[in-house]
Amino acid sequence: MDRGLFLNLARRGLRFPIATDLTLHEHPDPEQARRDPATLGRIVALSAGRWQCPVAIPLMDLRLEKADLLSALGIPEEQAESFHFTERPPAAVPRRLFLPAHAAAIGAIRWIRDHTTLIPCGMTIGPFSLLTRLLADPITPLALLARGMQEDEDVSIDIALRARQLAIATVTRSVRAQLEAGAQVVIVCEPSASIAYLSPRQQRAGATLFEHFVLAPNRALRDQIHAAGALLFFHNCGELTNDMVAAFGQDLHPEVLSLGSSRDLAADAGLVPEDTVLYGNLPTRRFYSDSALPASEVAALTVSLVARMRAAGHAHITGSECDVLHVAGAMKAIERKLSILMNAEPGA
Amino acid sequence: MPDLNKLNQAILDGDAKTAASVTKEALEAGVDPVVLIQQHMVPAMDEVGRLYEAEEYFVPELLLAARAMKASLELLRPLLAESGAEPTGRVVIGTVKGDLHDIGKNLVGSMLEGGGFEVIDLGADVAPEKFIEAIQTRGARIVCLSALLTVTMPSMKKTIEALEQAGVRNQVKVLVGGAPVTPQFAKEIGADGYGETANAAVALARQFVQR
Repeated sequence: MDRGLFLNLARRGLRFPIATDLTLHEHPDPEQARRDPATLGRIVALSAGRWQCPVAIPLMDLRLEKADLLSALGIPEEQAESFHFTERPPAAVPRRLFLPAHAAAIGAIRWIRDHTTLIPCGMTIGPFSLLTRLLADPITPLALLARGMQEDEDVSIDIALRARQLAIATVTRSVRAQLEAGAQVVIVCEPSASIAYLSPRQQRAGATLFEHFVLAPNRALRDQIHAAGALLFFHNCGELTNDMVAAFGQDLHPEVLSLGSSRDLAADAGLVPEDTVLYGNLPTRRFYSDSALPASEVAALTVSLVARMRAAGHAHITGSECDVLHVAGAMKAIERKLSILMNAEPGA
Repeated sequence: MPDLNKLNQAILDGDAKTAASVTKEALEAGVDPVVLIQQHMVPAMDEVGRLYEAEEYFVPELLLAARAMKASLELLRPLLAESGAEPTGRVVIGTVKGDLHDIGKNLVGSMLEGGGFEVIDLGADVAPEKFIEAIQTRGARIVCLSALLTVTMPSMKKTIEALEQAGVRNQVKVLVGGAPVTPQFAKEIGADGYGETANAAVALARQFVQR
């Protein structure tokens, strides 16, 4: 797959939200659909058609890799989300089969490849974000590490470093399976690689946490994806500094960089390489509420974003700040605003 | 007598070991625990909050400061209990049912503790019945509800409705917060307040107990 894919799509004015969850919830049994490769593949294809997107954007289910890792340690899937390591985990875990939902996500990629002309696309949580989900308090050990403490001085550091290894191995395994199933684009979601976990104050004081925990593992992931001829769509909707955005753009150099609504994409265009397409970043988390975000404001935001990105001259795909989730009772408001996201034009 | 400014500085630096050792020395020298809290720890956490608002401190510095303060508080709590000293207020806090995100909730909990409140932290994915139990059995008078996901925000409304049905709604003030939560939403679901930041939550909680 050529780096030019997303650049061309951006030039053609492609817009789409990451919103496969909406189509999933139109299925009579979303939980069953989530666990069946062919059904899930059809839902992903339907969603791509709905937004006229040539890329088969999958569900953003960032629970899969954690459940996969913990299944190897005997933790039941239903307990995976609330489980945290409280003692040093093993250095490696036994080989295992993917759990049904994870296997279905991988099978859906294969289904897209075999039954459609869409570009098959994978999705994974990033290694750092997975690490943060493995610990009850990921911030303290990182902060202690930033102060120069070592693993033998505080057990939480030891656990965090071991969890880092496991997170990298787990994500690598998930991406490998998705590439083998035919993914030509992989969306890596690293929402935790933000100032909530990695303090700019620590960075200014010379801490190397960002390099060690975020950039290095994601460079390896990018190399894995590129080695298979696929493209990296790097997503981070967290609060970021300019230095973090620049590092994601210049160091990881993804084909697409997707950022949250706290960022000014037109300003960020100056921080990232010209051949990295910026994706986003309308505040879709608030689309559910007409009082918090009226449709008129969505129209104004969309028009402003499109106009400013055109003026910046940087390749851009108008889209959501993150996954657009189904909210019972608010679907009319969400659909109306997604339609605005897809269609509002400056000067119209 | 130890230099008690070192306690303020240890909290500002997030240095739990120093905070605990200065506290221990102060207690051995006969300093009143209430003085340590009111004149040193609360002002230090207020300063941490100010630095956070000024974007000089970020979440990690804030949590380390809270950790240092807790190391000190653990030494003081038994003495406070013996003396019958009351906290500023008693708060029950949790992330609502269906939501496992707890950074924001931890932040608010830590800042409330820093502000002299007793905090009953129910954790994440908390069912309404647990909030009711904390009100009925532990005397919490402020309920803090957190949610990060749009899809779990309805759980805030359900929790408030459950408080009403259990007959405890008028005993408490309900404060809500979290990334997708807005002042309008707080009003719509019948909350008493909305905290956009941890500091704002502490300020509101203080207003509630002063009324």
